[in-house]
Amino acid sequence: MKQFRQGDVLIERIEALPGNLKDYKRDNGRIILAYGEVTGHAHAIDEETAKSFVNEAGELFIEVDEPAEIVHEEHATIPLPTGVYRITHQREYTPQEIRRVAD
Amino acid sequence: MKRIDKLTPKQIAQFPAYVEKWVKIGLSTDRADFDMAEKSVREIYKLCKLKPPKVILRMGSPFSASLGGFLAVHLLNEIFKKKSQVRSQVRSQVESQVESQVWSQVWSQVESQVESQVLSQVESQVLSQVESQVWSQVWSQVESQVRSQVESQVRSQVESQVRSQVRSQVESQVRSQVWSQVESQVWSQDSGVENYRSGQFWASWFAYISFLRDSCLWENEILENFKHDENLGLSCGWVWWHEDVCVISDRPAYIGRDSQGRLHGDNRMAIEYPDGWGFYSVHGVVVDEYVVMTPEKITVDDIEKESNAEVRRVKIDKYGQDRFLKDSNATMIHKDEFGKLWRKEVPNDENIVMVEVLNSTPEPDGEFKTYFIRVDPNITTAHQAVSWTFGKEPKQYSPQLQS
Repeated sequence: MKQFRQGDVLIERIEALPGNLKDYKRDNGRIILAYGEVTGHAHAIDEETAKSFVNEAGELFIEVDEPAEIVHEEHATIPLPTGVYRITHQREYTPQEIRRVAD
Repeated sequence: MKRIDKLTPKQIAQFPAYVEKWVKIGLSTDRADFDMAEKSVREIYKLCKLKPPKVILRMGSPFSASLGGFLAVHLLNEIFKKKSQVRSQVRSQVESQVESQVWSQVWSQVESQVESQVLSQVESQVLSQVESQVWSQVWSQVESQVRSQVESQVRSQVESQVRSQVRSQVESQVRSQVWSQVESQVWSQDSGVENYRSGQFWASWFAYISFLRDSCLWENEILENFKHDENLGLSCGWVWWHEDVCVISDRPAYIGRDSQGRLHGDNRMAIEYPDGWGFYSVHGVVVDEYVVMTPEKITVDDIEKESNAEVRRVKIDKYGQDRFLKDSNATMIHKDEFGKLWRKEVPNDENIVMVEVLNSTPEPDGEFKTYFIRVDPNITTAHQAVSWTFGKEPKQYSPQLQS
């Protein structure tokens, strides 16, 4: 199991890309793994050789044939060896309904 | 008259356009067309075989409409009982903006009747029958005609695809809240505050009937009555009905909604009317002004004493969940190399369980910032909590490199 974490993004090495993927578009030439909500900062890969895909559920996958890096304005850079990776965003618990206690 | 048994594909394709049109009308923040609304009001009194109202007030919000209608009825009682000497007495009691608006409108409309000694008795109770007569003429009769002439499957299709779609955006999210605020703020139980009907917030009803009329080409005499009601929906915000007095309210000047259509305002009222009346709401939960405008005034004590669980949750969010944990003596229930797990019991609501983690990259001053993430309240260890935030079991989560 090979995993890296940069802030609220988990990068996890997987055996191979799953099926049913679409290309995930670059933004100004960068692969953006996650945008900061208010800061405008981003977890990103700049290497042109890296490939990015997205499945129907919106999960991101990265294929790196030459070593790449994940950069962010506020976090240390994470070096990414060649391989295939799944990207997971951190989630937070939000109660869906309020259960009232009967009197 | 033609019965409607079936919808054509072309008619079905028009559903979204009706929904869009009437949601827009229901949530309109344009100024009311009072002249058009007044014309429809007079027609409705006529078709209900009622005397024309002596006074038609134009007010800036549903609140001042209900309060103003109540005041106007009492003023009329006074005026016609004691004639003009009451004017100065009443005026001396008149202080608020609502009262003076009502007074000047009532007086200017009845002055000539008083002077010419047209003294009719205004003995009606505030809880008059007018609203229910309007209801029966322009609402239930239309409904019963629809029932008899539109096949039930067609009705349920239009109900679910048009009426309830509009309702979920206009009535459920906005009208119900406006109504409950008006009701709670107009002081008197017998003020007839509930004598209101029609205006933009009845959009789903207008969408439903106008679809049958305009798209299905349903014809019926009763649609003449409906037309006046519909014109109120197109021209104003709210109508308060009474014998001798009818009050028309303007539309809101602002309606703020979140992505789910719930009333919501950051740093302002979520709904605000031209006369300044309105209220604060956070994602559909109505709260006091300070919760939105000066959240720094929220205290742990205030949160713990709040009896409404939804309002309490908003207050905790505004206060900061992590700060609340720290300041309210939450219990640390577990600690490991992944972080610390905290729990705070909240009466009548789920416990707040949060994991405190250290940022892996130091700040410029060399300090490591801590942050809190709320997790499933059933979680018992910090490792489990952090794994959960990435959708993993603890054994699936152990990053070799973190930053």
